[in-house]
Amino acid sequence: MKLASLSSLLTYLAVILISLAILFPIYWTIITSLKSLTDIFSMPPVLIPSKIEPLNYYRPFVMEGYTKLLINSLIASIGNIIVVIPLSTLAAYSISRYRFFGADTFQFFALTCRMAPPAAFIVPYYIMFRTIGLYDTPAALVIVYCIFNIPFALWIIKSGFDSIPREIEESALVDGASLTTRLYKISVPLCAPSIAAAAILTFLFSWNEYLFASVLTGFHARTITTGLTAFVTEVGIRWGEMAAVSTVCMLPGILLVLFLQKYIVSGLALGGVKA
Amino acid sequence: MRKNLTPWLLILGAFTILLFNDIIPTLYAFYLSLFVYNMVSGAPPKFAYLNNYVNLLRDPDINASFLRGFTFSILTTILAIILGLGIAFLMAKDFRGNRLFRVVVCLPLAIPYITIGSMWKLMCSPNIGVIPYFLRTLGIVYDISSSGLQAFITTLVIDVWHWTPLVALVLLAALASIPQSILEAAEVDGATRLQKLKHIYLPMMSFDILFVILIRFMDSLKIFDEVWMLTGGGPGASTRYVSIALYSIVLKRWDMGYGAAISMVFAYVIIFLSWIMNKTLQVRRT
Repeated sequence: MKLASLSSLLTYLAVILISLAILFPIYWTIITSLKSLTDIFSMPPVLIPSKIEPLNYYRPFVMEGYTKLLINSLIASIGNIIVVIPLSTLAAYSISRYRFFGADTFQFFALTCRMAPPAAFIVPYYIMFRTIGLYDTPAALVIVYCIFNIPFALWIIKSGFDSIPREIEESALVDGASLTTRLYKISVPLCAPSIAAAAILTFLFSWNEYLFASVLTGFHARTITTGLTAFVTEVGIRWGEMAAVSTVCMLPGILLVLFLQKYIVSGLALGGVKA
Repeated sequence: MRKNLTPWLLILGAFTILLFNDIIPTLYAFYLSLFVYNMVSGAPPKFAYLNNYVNLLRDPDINASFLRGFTFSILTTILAIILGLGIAFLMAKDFRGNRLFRVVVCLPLAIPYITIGSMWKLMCSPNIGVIPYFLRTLGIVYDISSSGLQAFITTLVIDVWHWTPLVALVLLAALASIPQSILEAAEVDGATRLQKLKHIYLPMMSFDILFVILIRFMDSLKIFDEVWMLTGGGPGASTRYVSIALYSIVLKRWDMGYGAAISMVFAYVIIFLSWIMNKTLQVRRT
């Protein structure tokens, strides 16, 4: 009995320490975004601000046009969902239901797209999108984000289709339903949770992206993540504003984890792993 | 005939986009890598055979960044696997607040990488950071803008903070798939914890562990956003990993031909690693 309570004490100790290590950087960012300049620079560091300073949010979002960057991020992310989800659903259905020549090659190809180092694509992308006139447009980001989101959505939705018993469709086939009918009346609705999870995570990955956005946009289509580096200036770092924009950047991700925990957790794990 | 074409038609859309996003840029990058092409000078591209690749092999900056990247990836992978395994065992335990703990553990995975960089910049700054302050009270001088080693270690810590949750989640799933009967049998035979770890857990999770090692290694080799935000590759070149070196060469020198050559080499290192990973997975399936 004594040993058991010691072990559970150690468990709680470990859980608390790990949680603190994970939560502290997030807490610190949020709290810094609410601090006045004096509090930010005071030593020892202020754990709880004496007063809340809204200017850190007001300046970038009201005075410096960061709202536009938010809108650009939204356009790129939602645009990407609109392209990724239908195409991935069809492709996932195909590789889940048919055995055909090239299916394995296609999957390996998708895997390499997912794994390829983004930095290796900046040279060709930059010149290509300049040439076709899509540089600095949301369309460029909508297209480019497919490289990691299509493979990802493909795997999530495929595992959704894999888990639906084939018998359901086969009975519909006996009744003479066409492929389109089977897809839209049976398989897609049954697979809806997987498709929804894929859509949410597609949104999140696009929203979170920085490297391509920094290379492929200059002024008009800049996203919120690229706005973050602007606070590191020649004369110093605008800490308060940087913390405020960081907080806004991470908000969607944190809210999704908190409220859609079940889908997101397995999805995030799959995001790095499933092949 | 029509029946045979259906699966192909269904993947056509996704395939076309990936073709445009992956194959065409790769071919184009290969083509560019054969030229001397500086976008600043404005001179037309000049065919240079494989000169860019020859220069690359001799370039101390690039060689050092690959070596640094490999060192970084090996260290961060080892740390993340050990910690991740520990957290996985912890999450598998039955205690009050377990579900909340799982939510907390997932948080780092949902945050933009660049924000992770700015988050740690806030904490590590010599002027305002809590970490330098805390270490100073312990008598340690911590300044990532002057100490290369400290900057390197800080990027390791950040990467471990960011990605250990993923390792933990994957290994938790592996842990959950071990049949309860085996564990109970070991219990009856009076196996100690260490014996159980050595003879049951590790062998039964070996594929997942190998898999997560490969994933982690490849991902860390690609690290960019967090480090770019935190140090920009400095001080000196102490955190100049491959992506950072590549980005700087392209966007500061606009040396597109050379940048393309580095891209090709970098991409093929990663593709080779993912080929190994794919083989590993196939072994597991059979």
